This record gives sequence, C-alpha cells and structure tokens, in this order.
Amino acid sequence: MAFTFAAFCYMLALLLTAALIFFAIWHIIAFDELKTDYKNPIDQCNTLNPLVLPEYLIHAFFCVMFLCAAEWLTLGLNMPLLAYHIWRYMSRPVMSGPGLYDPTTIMNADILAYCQKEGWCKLAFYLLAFFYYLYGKHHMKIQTHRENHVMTEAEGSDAAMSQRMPRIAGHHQKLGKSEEGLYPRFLTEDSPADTLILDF
Amino acid sequence: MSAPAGSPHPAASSRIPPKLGGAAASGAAAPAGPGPGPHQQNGPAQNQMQVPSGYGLHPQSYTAPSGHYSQGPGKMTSLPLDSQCDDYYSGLYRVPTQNVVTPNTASPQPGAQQMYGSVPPAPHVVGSTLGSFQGAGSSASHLHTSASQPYSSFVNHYNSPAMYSDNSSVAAQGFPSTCGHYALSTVSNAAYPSVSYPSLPAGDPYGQQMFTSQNAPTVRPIRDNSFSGQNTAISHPSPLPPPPSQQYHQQQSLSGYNTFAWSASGLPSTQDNLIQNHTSLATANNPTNPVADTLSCSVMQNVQPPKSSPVVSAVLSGASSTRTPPAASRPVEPLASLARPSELLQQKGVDSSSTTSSASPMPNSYDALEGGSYPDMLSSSASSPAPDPAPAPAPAPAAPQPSKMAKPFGYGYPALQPGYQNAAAPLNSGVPPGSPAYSGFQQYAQYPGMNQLSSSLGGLSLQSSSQPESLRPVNLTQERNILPMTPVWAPVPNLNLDLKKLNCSPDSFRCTLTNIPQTQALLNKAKLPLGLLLHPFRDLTQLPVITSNTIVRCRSCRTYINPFVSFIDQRRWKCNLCYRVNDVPEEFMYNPLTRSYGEPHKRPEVQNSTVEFIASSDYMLRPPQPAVYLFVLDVSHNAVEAGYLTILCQSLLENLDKLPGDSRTRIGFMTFDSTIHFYNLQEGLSQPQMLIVSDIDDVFLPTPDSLLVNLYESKELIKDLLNALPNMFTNTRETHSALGPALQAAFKLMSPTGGRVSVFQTQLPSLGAGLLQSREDPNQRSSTKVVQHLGPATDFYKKLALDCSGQQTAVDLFLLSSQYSDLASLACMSKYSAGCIYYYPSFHYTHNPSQAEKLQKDLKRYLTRKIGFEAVMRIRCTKGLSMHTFHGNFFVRSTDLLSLANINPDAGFAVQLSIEESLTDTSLVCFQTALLYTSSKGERRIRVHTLCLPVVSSLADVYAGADVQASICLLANMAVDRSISSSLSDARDALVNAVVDSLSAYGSTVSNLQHSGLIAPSSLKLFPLYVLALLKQKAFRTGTSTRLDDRVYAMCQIKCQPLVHLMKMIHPNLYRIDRLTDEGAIHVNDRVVPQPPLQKLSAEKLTRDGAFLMDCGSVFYIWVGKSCDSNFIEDVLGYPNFASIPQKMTHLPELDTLSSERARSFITWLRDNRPLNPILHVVKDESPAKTEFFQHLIEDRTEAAFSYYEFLLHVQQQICK
Repeated sequence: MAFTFAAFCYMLALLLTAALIFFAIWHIIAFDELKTDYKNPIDQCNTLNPLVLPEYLIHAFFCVMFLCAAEWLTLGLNMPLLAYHIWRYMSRPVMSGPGLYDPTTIMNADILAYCQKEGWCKLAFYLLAFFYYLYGKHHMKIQTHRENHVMTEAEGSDAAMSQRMPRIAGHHQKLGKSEEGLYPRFLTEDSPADTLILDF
Repeated sequence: MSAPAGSPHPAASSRIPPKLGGAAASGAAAPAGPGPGPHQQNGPAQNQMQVPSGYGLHPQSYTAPSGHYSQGPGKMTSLPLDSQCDDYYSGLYRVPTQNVVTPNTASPQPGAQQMYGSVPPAPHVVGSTLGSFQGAGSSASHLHTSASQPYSSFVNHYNSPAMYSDNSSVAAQGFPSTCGHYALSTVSNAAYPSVSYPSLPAGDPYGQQMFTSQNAPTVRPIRDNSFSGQNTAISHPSPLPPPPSQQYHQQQSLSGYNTFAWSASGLPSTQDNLIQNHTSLATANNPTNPVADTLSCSVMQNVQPPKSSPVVSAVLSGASSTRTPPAASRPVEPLASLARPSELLQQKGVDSSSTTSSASPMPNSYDALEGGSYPDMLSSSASSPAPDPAPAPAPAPAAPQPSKMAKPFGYGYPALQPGYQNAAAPLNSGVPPGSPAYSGFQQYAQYPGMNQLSSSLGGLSLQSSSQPESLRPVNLTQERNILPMTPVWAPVPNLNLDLKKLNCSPDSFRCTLTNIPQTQALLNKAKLPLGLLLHPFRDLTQLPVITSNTIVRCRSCRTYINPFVSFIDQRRWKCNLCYRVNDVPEEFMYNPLTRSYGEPHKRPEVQNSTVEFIASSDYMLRPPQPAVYLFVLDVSHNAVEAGYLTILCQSLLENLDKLPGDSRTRIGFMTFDSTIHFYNLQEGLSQPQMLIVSDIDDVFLPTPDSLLVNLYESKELIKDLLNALPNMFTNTRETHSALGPALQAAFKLMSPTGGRVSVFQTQLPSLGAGLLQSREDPNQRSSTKVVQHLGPATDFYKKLALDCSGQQTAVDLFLLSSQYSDLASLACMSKYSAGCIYYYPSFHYTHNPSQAEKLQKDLKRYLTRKIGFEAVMRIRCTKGLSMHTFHGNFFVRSTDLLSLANINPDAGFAVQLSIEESLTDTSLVCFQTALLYTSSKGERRIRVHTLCLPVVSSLADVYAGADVQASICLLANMAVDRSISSSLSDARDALVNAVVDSLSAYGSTVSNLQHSGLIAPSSLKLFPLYVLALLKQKAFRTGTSTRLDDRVYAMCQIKCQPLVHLMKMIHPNLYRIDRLTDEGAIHVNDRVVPQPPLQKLSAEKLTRDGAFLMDCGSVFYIWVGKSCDSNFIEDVLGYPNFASIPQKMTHLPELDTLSSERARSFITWLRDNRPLNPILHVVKDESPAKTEFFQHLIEDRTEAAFSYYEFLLHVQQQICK
C-alpha cells in the first residue's frame, strides 16, 4: 500500500507540476507585458495576485504528500522552494488582499527584473521537477510491479497464473536491464505495469 | 562669425548641423562654434571644455551680466594662458557678443538674426563698401536692431558675418574697433535672445516678415541647395564617426591651437553662411551667385575690413546708413534707431539682469504671433536662484558699453586677430594656426571676469589650471574651508556653446552626471549614481507657447521635435532619441515667428528646449475637466481645539477669487468626526444645508448633484459656510475621527470629474475603514538601532490613492497634529495620487503662533499657485539608456509614464537611469520630459523639456562632469527607498558607502597622486560634506531624539521637493547678517538684496559679537550672539539690548534703518517662491531653543554623530581597508 501511495503522490505531483509550469509561464508573460507597456500595472497585479497563493498552496500540498509518502529525497529537493515561498510571502508588502505584487512598486526596474528572473527560475525548476516526477512515478510503478510480481510468484500456484508468469518475469528482467537505459524506452516498456496500478 | 559657427556645428554632432545649415545657426552659432566643437568629443578637449564650465558654472548667467566687460580685462591679464583656446575663444566671442547683443533687440529671435546674419549680403555690399560696411554695418546694425526695422536687422546680420571676416583681417592690423564689432555681432546672435525679446518683440518679426516676403520666393531654391550641401557635409558625419570638424577640435585641443580647428571648421561654416547670405542676398541682388563666388567675396570683405575697422561705433551708424542702401528697396528706418546704440545696450543689460538666465533661449515674441498666451511669469529669483541672481547687478548696463569698446579689444585684440585670420585662411590661403591660441586665452579670461558673479566667486580663481577645474584633485582632509563662499551652481554640460545656449535650464532638468558615461561598466567603475532631477512644472518667467495644428513628433518613439534634432534637409529631420528619419510636415515649414517659409529649423520648437504646446483633441481622452476642489475637514474635538478651521476659512475667503480656474470651477466641502457631514450649496438655497451621513461602514452620497457647486454661482453660500464653519463645532465632544470613510466619500464625490481633494487631519483616524493604531514607541525615538514603522501599516490609503489616481483625483494632506498620527500610513493617500503633504507638528493657533502663521502662508501659496489636472508625464531618453526607478509623488503607469492626477509647481521628481546598451556610436544623449496636463482654464497643454548631454568614455571625464548636488538629492531619494524597504541603518551604510566607493574609485584613477590624504575631484569635493549632512538630516539621523512623524515627513519631503529646495533642507545656508553691505548686492524688483558670503556650518564660525541667519529651507533661524553689536539689535531687531530680546520672536520689525532694510530685503528674497513658507525664529545665544539651531551645524560633532573631519577620517579609513 505504501508503495502505491508514493506512486500516487508522484502522479499527482506530475499533474500539479504541469499546472505550476503553466503558472510560471503566465507570470513570465505578465511581467513581460508590463515591461513592454502593454498593460496597466494595477490590472496586471489584480490578475496576478490571486494566482500567487494557489501556486504556493499547490506546491506546499504535494510537499506534504511527499512527506506522508516518506519520499525524503523528493521532499528534500522541494524544501528550498517551499522555504523560499514562505519567506517570499512573509516579506510581501503591506497588503490587505492576498498576493505579492504591489502596483506602486512593481514598475521599479529592480523589482520587475527580480520578478521576471523569479519566473524563469521557477519555470526551470518546475520543468526539471516534472521530469523528475515522471521518472519517479515510473520508478514507483516498477517497484510496485515488482512487489506484485514477487507476491504473485510466492503465492500463486495456479496453472493459469504460472502460465502467465514467464511473460511477466521476462518483462521484469528486461526492465531491470534497462533501468539505466533511455527514458523513452522505459516509458513504452512500462505500459502493462500502468494498467496494473490502475487496476489496483 | 560664420567661420566659427561652422566649426562648432560639425563638432556638435548631427543636431547642430541642421541648424547651421539653415543659416539660422550661422549667426548665433558662430560664436559658440569654436568652443563647442572641442567640448563635445575630444577627450583632451573636454578638460579644457570643462574649465570654462567650471568657472562659469552657469555660462548663461555669466554671459548675461553685462558686468563682464569691466572685470574681464583685469582678469584676463592675470590669468595664465592655457591650451583651452577653444573655450576661451568661444568665451571671447560670446562676451563681446553678449554685451553687444543685448543692444540688439532684434536678436531675440535667434533664427531671425541668424538668417540675417548670413554673411553673404555683406559681401555683396562689400563690393561697394567693403571695409566701411562691415565695421559700420556691424556696429550700426547692432545698435539699430533695437530699432527693429527689418532692414536694420538685416544690416546687423550682415555686419556680424562681415564683422567676423573683418575682425580676422582687421585684428591683425591692430584695429581695436573691429573687435568691438565682433563682439557686437556675435552677441546679438548668440547671447541673449530671450532678453532682447521683451524690448523689441514687435520689431523683429516685422523685419523678418519683410525679409521673408521679399526673399522667400527667389531665395528658396538656393537655400535648399546650400542646405543639402551643408547637411551632407556637416551634419551627417557627426552622428557616425567624429566629423571632420571634431577631429579638428581634437587636434586643436591637443595642440592647444584653436585656430587650426577654426580654420578647418571655419570653411564649412563660412560656406553655409555664404550660402545663406546668398539666399538673402539673392533677394537683394545676386540670386545666382555661385557659392564659390560668395566665398571669395566674403573673404575679400574680410580682408578689406581693416579699412572699416578704424571706424568707431559712431561711425558705424553712418556706415549702417550706407548699408541700408544696398537693401535699397527696403525702408531706411533703421538709421534712426542706430543713433542710440548705447541706450539699447543699457536696456539690454538691464533686461538681462532681470531675466532669468536659465530661460535664455526662449523668445516670447512668437507667442504674440502664434496667438498663444504667455504663461505667468513668476519672478525667477526664488525658483532659480543660482543662475539668475548673477546677472542682476546694476553695474552691468553702465559697464558694458565701455567695456565692449575698450577693454576687450585692448586685451584680446591682437591675439584674436590671428585666430580670425586663420579661420579665414582656409578659405583663401593657409594661415598659420599658431597665433589664435592667444586670443582664445585672453578671451577666456575675460569671460569669467566679465561676470559679476565670477568676481564674487572667489574660489574660482583656479581658472589657470591646465586641468579642468572640476577635476582638480582636492585633498579633503587638508582643505579647511571646503564650502565655497557663494552658492554652488549646477555644472554646465560640456557642450558647444550653441547647444549650451539651447539646453534646458538646470532648474528644470538636471542630471547627476553632466558627462554621461559610455557604458554601464564605466558607470559602475565611477560608483556615482546616474539619474535625473526634474522640476517640470516650475514657475517660469519665460515660456514659449506654441499653438499649431500638428505637433511634430517622431513617428517611432513619439519624441517631440526639439533643438537637438538634426535636419537632414529641409523636408526631413532625424530624431535625436531613436535616430529615425521623419518628414517635416508642411505646416512646420512655415515659421510663425519670422513669418517665413522653408525654415523649419527656426521654428520656436527647435529654438527652445523648454516649450509648451497647446494640445489638440488628439491628446484628450475626454473633454478637459474643470477645476474641482474639495475640502475634507476634520472637525473632531481635537481639531476644533487646535483651531485650524479659523485660519483655513479665513485663507479661503481671502483667496476664493484667486483659486485657479475658469467659469466652470467647482468647489465643495465635507467635514467629518465620527460621522460625515456634507454641505449642500446648491444655488438658490437661502443658506448652506448640512447633510449628515452616520453610516460610515457603507458611505453614500446624500445628494449626488449639489455637493460640488459652481464657485461663481454659489459664491454667497460658500462664503456663508466659510464664515460659519469655524464656530459650528466649538462645543463638539466627538473625539473620533472617521477619516477613511470620509475619504471614500470624497472619492465618490470626485470620481465623475477628477480634481483636487484637500484633507485636513489632526489625529489618528480611529473609526471605520483605514483606522490606525499608534505604532510609535517614544522610548525608541533616539534609538541608534532599528527604526521601525517607516512604512504604512495598512494599504487602505494606498488603494484609495490608486483609485483616486485612476479618476484623476489628487489628495493633498495637511496633517496638523500634536501627537503621533502615523504619517507613514496617511502619506500614502498623497504619495500615489500625486498630491502633496504638509505637516505641522504641534499645531495650535494660539500656543504655537509661528505654526499658525506658517499654515496661513502655506495656504495662500497652496490655494493660488498654478495647478494642472489629469496630467501624465513621460520621460524619454536616447536609445541605450533606460529609466530604472522613479522618485516622487505619482503612480507609475508604465516604464516611462507617470500618472499625475494633479501637477503643481512645487513638485519635484527624480529618476534613476541605467545604461542598457553601450553609447559608443553617439556623442550626445538627450532626455525629454513631456508633461501633458489640463490647465485650470481647461486647456490641454504639453510642456516639453529637453536636455542634451555629452557622452564620455574616460573615467576622469565622468568625474569632471559630476553634479554633486544632483547626486546627493538622488542618493537621498534612494536612501529613503532603502530605509523603507530594508532598514534605516542599511540606508545610512549605503550613503557612507557611496562616498567611500566613489572616492576610492577616483583615488585609483589618479595614481600619480600620493595617497597622503583623502583625494576628491573638485567636482565632488562637497560630496562627503553633503553626505554627512544627509546622515544628520532628520530623515536619516540616529541617536538624536526624532519623532517618527517628523522623520517620515522629512522623507516625504526628500521624495517630492525639487532640488533647489531639497538642498537647503539637506545642507542649510548660514550667513552672517549683522554686517550686511551692498557689496555684491543684486537688484530684484527695485530692491537691493545684499549677498553675504556663505559660512560653513560650524560653531567655530559663530562669533559672540555677531548675528547669523540660517536658511534651512522650511525654517529660518537668526542666532544672536551674546555680545552682538548693539546697533544690530537696535536697528534690526528693534530692542535696546541683548537682554531685552524676547525668547520667542518670529518677525523682524519694519524699522526705518538701512541695516533693517537690508536684513529684511535679504530675508524676503530668500523666502520668495518657496513652496513651504519658512518661519523665522530669532534664537538668543542662551535660549533653550538654540539646540534646534545647533543641530543644523552639521560640521560639528554631536554625541551621536561624527564631525566633518572625523567623518573624513572614517571615510579614509574605509577606503584604505
């Protein structure tokens, strides 16, 4: 059960990270629009500010999930960003509403440049994280699969079961070989396992 | 003239050439030409260049004072000659010219003059009367110009060109008189266009008209040709690589020969002139003369002049008469005018003195032509103290004439001639370049000497140094008296004279570095802040207002056409910010000033760096709004107790008719305590109706229509209300204040129209939205560690301000409180809505009469000053530079656009710049501020300022051009931001680091100097002092008990005060006033204003037998020593002896004694045009109030802070680390 929960976390994180990537791109575009004078800073801040907390909460959410799944490495990788988010929100300007961006200071070249840089950095982080989660997800699935396999092998005495075993075993061996191999291959090879998990 | 003019132009870079080409440049530019050329680009030249600028920090002002003459000679002799021929040269030219010029009323329009100035006519004439012509003509013309007949002016022009040639040739021969001519001619063109204007506005256009009408048709083709030719030759090169002329300059600078350059440059210029002349001449006689011919003719004339040279000014008049004949067809009227050149001269001198030097280039006459209205002229003295005062002195008028004739010649004459010859030489035959240098020197010497100011500037004696004065290393630890005796003027950008003349006044537009570094790397190396200090809506004495259907702007960057664009040919101009080539619209071809066609370069837009356009409906989003004023008044118990209502209502009653506005002006009143009261003033009511809204959680307007009423229709009701208001709440027991809801209501009331909301608040808002808690811990007031709560506690006021700003409403805050009121939060309502903030700590109408009086005077200014509504300001700069951060009260709408719901003449702004791309392909950068606003008369107007600065590539040049005052003001702004965003101690460290970094960076550039002390370039010698002053300023000081509100207010002031006022807040001026004399006094409005020397801010300067006046910007202190001269106490203070002076004295009695009169006129002069009316405190040596006074002695040690010397040692220590 625990393994599958971790895999579930990775899958969830994968989906949510895709959303965060979208957020990051949205921010970058928005600041670029500000820089090129397309938008009024008040409007822009009004559209951006509501997005800040959701983004932080999403990230915090799967951090908590990883914590529950005891995925320490993944959690460790996410901790810096989590800490940064907390610091960033603590040091936000005096505002009554949620959000970070103050229309009166956002046009300051330093702040604007900072926000843009922040956007790019986050985008990069999320992209890397996305692939990491993808990898992690499959890794988890494989592990789960292996577990399943071991379990069935140990318990199964059914003929039908044993008939099917070789195929799975072969599959497993192949996977084991390609564990360090190329990603795409891994991906394609893995599809049966997927159904397994989903069945679960 | 022509020759010199030519040279400068090319050097000047692309912009100039166009003008020159246009012929307009020739006249005016010519004088400037030599100087400028070298200035701009040459590394070596720059030094030289600077020297002059250093001297005359304000070249304009210098020139203006007629005093030059007399003083000039003396100085000249004494001064050592340097390699700075160029500068000198120009200086010389100018001087004479200026003096001379003044007489020419015609001169006002540079363009006109220039046109005339085209030499060609002279040559033609010359054929008949060459020698006499020039000499006579020039002198005569100058004098005549005053007459303002078209022809006379024409003659003048002739003369001027002719003069040049004459001079060169003549000078060699040794005719002093020719020199005189020179001066005259040049002057007319270059020096005082503005001045001359007033006297002869009508005349000039007249003459020009004539001219144009006759000439225009025939001449045009010729001109065009010449134009294109010139342009190609001259203008083009400049933008790209250094033009030939520039190269020349460099050579010159290096060799120290001006002449060489001259000659070289001279050619094109002369040609231009010639061409122009031809055109003009053509009308007269020879339309088809080939250029070559004209050239030869001109040369010939030049040579011949010797004959004429002998002729004296008197003769000149005669000559002029002869002159006129060539013009035959034209009226001969000029002659009469000729008769009294001297008078004219005098007038001009006077005018110049009275007028602002800063305004120099703006002729007003076209206003009349264009039908534009003049802006109100406020006496410039206050607003632009530095440049203006100098010219004023009375002596000028008398001096100029004699000086022109005699002195300049005597000295400069021999030397000058060679130079001229050289210039001429290229045309005809090569002349040895060597000689001219001399002349240059002498002239230079004269130049500073001429100004009365210069004489008063004792510290400027450095002229002789071969290095630019601003670069002279100063050992700060050994220089005991670092503070000059006279006010510090803004450094003058190292441009050629022509550009200098056109450049924007430093009072309106100033850059921290007058030499812009080429790359960001260089800027980083210099460790100096780069930014602009703006005072865009300053009260101006002269402002050209232009009405035209099409406002000419660059099609790609939308830059307004300005004096620094280049005309590629008559039909196209090149933007100086983005370098796009634009078409000149048909309408722009017609010059309303001269009523001539085909001279776009002479349009007022191109002749003035500060202009105002009447905007068309393209510039409106809605019909111009009326002036709308809403007063929101605190009437809680606290407010009634303080008693401000009486003063406010009284001031309003007195100034009701003076409120800026038109027939649509509307006004309204609201009061609030725990409820909100509206006043229905609808016309037809028998008395004002009070409507009370007690639901402060959901504020609504009780009646939508009749709360803001037409001022004129409901005047009686308004007066009734104002009379009743002070007594309406006398017995109130309501102590709460619902400021937030009141502001929300005000916003609702104002949002349909926009306008100005004036909020009077006396305590912390305690009810409803925006309520605040006291955050100040009195025990922390003198803490040296952390100062908290500099930022707002809530964003309610900021949001409200943004809403208001979006509806074109500005909120001005008057905070009159005796306790902590959290100004840091309240100020946001004004900061982001472009309002202004007034703070009267411990205000009480009886207990604190000085504050009450201050409020009264501030209100008077506040209610009657100019105001602009629904304004936006855009700042543009040359490609490669970018705006980084803005400081001031506004909302930043986009990277270069500030949204200003209101603009007032007391608002200052600062902008930090960064260099994004290297500026290697340009020699000049320009900045343009365009302020679009609706005047109180419902007119949409655009005020445009353009500033042009040179680009340099060496670190030394960057330091040479540093403007220490501007830098300090920008640093102060940055420090305020830092202390709010980070912490006060951070900001203080940053300030100290700014000194340490810049001085150590400078130290590493002057490796040849031994590091025995703390070395600073002369331009930055006051930098440590000013930074120390900042550290001891209320905003940034620690260790001294400072109330939080006081500190925050000081920060607000730093953010929104213009430079002139801010500098006094940072570094007060100390004068000794018990021995005022008329020596060096200036004349303002028929009053003699003594000019005592500045004293350094140290107790060592305070002697017990003296009395001292300290000008802190918003406060004056008069400190009276114990054993002060009893005459002073009696005559000025009006008390028999020291003991009888009261502890609280805030006025000087009007005594009928000379010393009293002097003291009062001096103080009045200091007070003029201050946005905040300073209160006067007489402080006795023993009184407890003296600590206030001693706090400002920033060079002395206090318990919590360094003395100046200690600070220097500290800095030195930091550098050595």
